[in-house]
Amino acid sequence: MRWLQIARKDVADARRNRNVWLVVGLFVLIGVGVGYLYGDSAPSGDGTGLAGAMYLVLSALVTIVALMLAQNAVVEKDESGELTALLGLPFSRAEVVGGTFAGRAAVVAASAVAGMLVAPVLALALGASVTLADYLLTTLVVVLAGVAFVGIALGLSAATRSSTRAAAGAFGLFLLFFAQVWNLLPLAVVYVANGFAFPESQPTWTNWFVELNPLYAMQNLLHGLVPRLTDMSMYGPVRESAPAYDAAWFGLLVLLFWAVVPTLLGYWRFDRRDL
Amino acid sequence: MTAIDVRGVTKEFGDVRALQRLELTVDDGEIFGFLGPNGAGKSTTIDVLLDFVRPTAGEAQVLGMDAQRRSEAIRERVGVLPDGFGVLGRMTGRQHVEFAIEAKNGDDDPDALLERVGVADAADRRAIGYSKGMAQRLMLAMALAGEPDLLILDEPSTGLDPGGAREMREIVREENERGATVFFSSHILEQVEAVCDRVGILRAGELVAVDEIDDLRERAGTVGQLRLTLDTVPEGLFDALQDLDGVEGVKREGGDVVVACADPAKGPAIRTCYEAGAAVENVRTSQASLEELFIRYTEGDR
Repeated sequence: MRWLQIARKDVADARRNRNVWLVVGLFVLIGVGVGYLYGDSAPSGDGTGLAGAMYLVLSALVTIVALMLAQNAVVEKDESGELTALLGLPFSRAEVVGGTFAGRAAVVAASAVAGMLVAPVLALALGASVTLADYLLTTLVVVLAGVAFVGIALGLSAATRSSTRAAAGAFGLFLLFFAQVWNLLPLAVVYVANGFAFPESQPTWTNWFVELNPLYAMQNLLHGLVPRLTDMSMYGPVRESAPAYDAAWFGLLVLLFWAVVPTLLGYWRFDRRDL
Repeated sequence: MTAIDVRGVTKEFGDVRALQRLELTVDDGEIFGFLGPNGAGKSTTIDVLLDFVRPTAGEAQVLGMDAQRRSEAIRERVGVLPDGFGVLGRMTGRQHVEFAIEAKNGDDDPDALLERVGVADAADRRAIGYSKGMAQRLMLAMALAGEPDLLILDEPSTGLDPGGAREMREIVREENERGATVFFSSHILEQVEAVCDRVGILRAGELVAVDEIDDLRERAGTVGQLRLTLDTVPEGLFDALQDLDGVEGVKREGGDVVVACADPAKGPAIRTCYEAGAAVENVRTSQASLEELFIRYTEGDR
């Protein structure tokens, strides 16, 4: 259970980090703002509006923050020599990576939850109606997406040797997923494979591929869990009769994949290299 | 029992060969000084023992366990002061020591450890603000946590003033009396000389000498230097000198020929020069100190 000691240290480090508190402050501020506006002006009746509004504002922020907080988690320790000090103690490299993942994921989850929970408390106090089940499910999805991005960025961090490269990689990931460069990849492949011309219709696999974007997966999962939030689709179209690649279970699977696999790959490289 | 057993370890970093079929044995209970100039491969050797780097060939055992496969089990029983370490995030000095004690399942008193290494005054300050010497002391306190069976200290005196270096040696002695084996590296001979039972001298990735410190001192006394000023240096002279009994090395220094040899070989060396056809214009002879022996081992042509 030594990884738990690393995780606790990572959380303790975060608590001593002013940037983390700035993030928590920002999330809480957003929660207060949205909660107040909703409680003050929203018509009572449909209680899912608050979840939709918070999702719209916080989901992107939480995932970006997760990317930023995790991309230097391992490589920074390598550069500062902290890794040498840690590995002089009886920790394995797996415990260092696993513990750091758990710690960062906990920090991101706690910040997201702090922001998400302020809003309904305030809205309810102001007399608005909030469907709590929908709201909690939305919170869960946002947290899960945050954890997925921690996994992606931590894998990057464990695989690289310089923090400059990790930061550049994180920006690349931002372009890939947030600026949706990801969607263009299958198009490019199809274009080249078809002899530098687009075919009449896109093959089905391109649809599957596009839905592997963790942001789309988050959207798909939320749509499955809280169908009434359908109109809040920021990422990708939500179809009436969803094909399998738009299904909630597929979204969940994709998020879990991104949470686990990149970190495993990063660890695989980290474990094999000289310090 | 052997505390450290390195068998034929070679380590290459790209084109650079840092260690070349290194053989090294450290017995249980001894204080072993690992000497060598910067870049000789001392830290690489220690990195192999701790599984920070993986050898290109060969294998290493620590406390009877394979250094690569059982690294965590090894590090549970070893106290490490690594080269190029950094402090742990924003933790205070005391938190550092508490962290190490927890990791080692020790029951030490953190304040007692901090007191011992002389940073008790700064226990509640963040270690990130410590000077190099203080950080070095703090890391030593972490290495001492959990009463390790073996201490591996990489250049422990780095950043310490002379007083601090003496305290470091005191602690090394105390730990050894408690029963711990101590393996430490240094590029400074006198630090090793003062505490070590045995010394290994590393040069360009190879162990060029291993001896008890007394034997090494004895050799230093018997091996001296003969500095000859010749009118010419005939071809084949160096080989002829090298072949003499008791000659350890020959090199050119300025216009002189310098022969490292035992006293009885000095006469034959001069005669060899005459026989080779060179007139000896000046002869200077000196006894080598341990320092010179070290320098010759690490810098001279062997």
